[in-house]
Amino acid sequence: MKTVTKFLILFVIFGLIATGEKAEAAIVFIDVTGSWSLSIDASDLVAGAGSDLIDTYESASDEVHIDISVWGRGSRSWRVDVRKSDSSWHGNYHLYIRRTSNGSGWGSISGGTSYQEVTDTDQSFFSGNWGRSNIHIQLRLSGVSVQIPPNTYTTTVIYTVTST
Amino acid sequence: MKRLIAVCLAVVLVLGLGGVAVVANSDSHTVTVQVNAINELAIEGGNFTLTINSATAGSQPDPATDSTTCDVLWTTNEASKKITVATSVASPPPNFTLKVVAQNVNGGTAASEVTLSDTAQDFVTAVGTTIGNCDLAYTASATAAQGTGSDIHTVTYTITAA
Repeated sequence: MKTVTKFLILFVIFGLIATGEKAEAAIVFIDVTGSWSLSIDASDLVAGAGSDLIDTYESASDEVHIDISVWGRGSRSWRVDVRKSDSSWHGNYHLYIRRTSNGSGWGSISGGTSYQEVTDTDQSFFSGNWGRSNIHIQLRLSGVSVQIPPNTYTTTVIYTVTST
Repeated sequence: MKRLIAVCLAVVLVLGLGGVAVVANSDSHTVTVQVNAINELAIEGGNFTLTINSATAGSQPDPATDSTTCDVLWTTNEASKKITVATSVASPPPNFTLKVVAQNVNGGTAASEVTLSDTAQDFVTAVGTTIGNCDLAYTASATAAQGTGSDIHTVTYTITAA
């Protein structure tokens, strides 16, 4: 076999490996809309003066919406991780999150339907494939008490979608 | 030729590695909790009458007391608070003396017994970011020289800055 022919065969084999669909990853985008604001005052006392504040608060079941879109060739599977980044958060507060709808779209979606605590470290939230739109997210806050002084406490919930 | 193959392999490897690169994208939203100042106080119990109607011969009339009818309850999420007490009857009281002291205090420190006047006086101090309660112990007294009659007090408790 001529050298040129050998070279062409090698090139084709490696080219196939390089461009093989399994080895490619599509580009996945996530778009998050909504936010949750909570105002706590004396009306939240369990039984008026002499009692503590209600411990746990829940957002609307569709407080936050997530859209996921997939572009390009390759795997359409993805995973959404979630974490928070505090700017002025109180250590007694615990923030939980869950997915309350599947949204709509071609592919499938799974996981994340039970509340899980959002920490400062990325944790797997839910996964799926192909594009999904209008996935509803609900939030829950616990640890509220009169021991936490008046102030405005804020944290940012960060969702990261990764092609899998 | 060898050089050409090496170049091709390098290109292929780069393309291959690029193909398996993990692609991530992020977005976020905020969660905001606004905690407003809470300073709530309530009295449990109700209106009651202290009646002075006995005396030991040779002594002033016996005081009348009540420490079971009323409690004060409070909740505050602010630091450095106190609870004051005042009566609606102008000083000095037209007829008799009414005193009050906090008993069985939770969530603060009882002040000394005070003779009620229309000027606010400390009743419980060292109140802050807490839930609290206490019993109200009243003592009404009169001297023989003050004769008979009645005073009607509206007693007001206020949670305020220390």
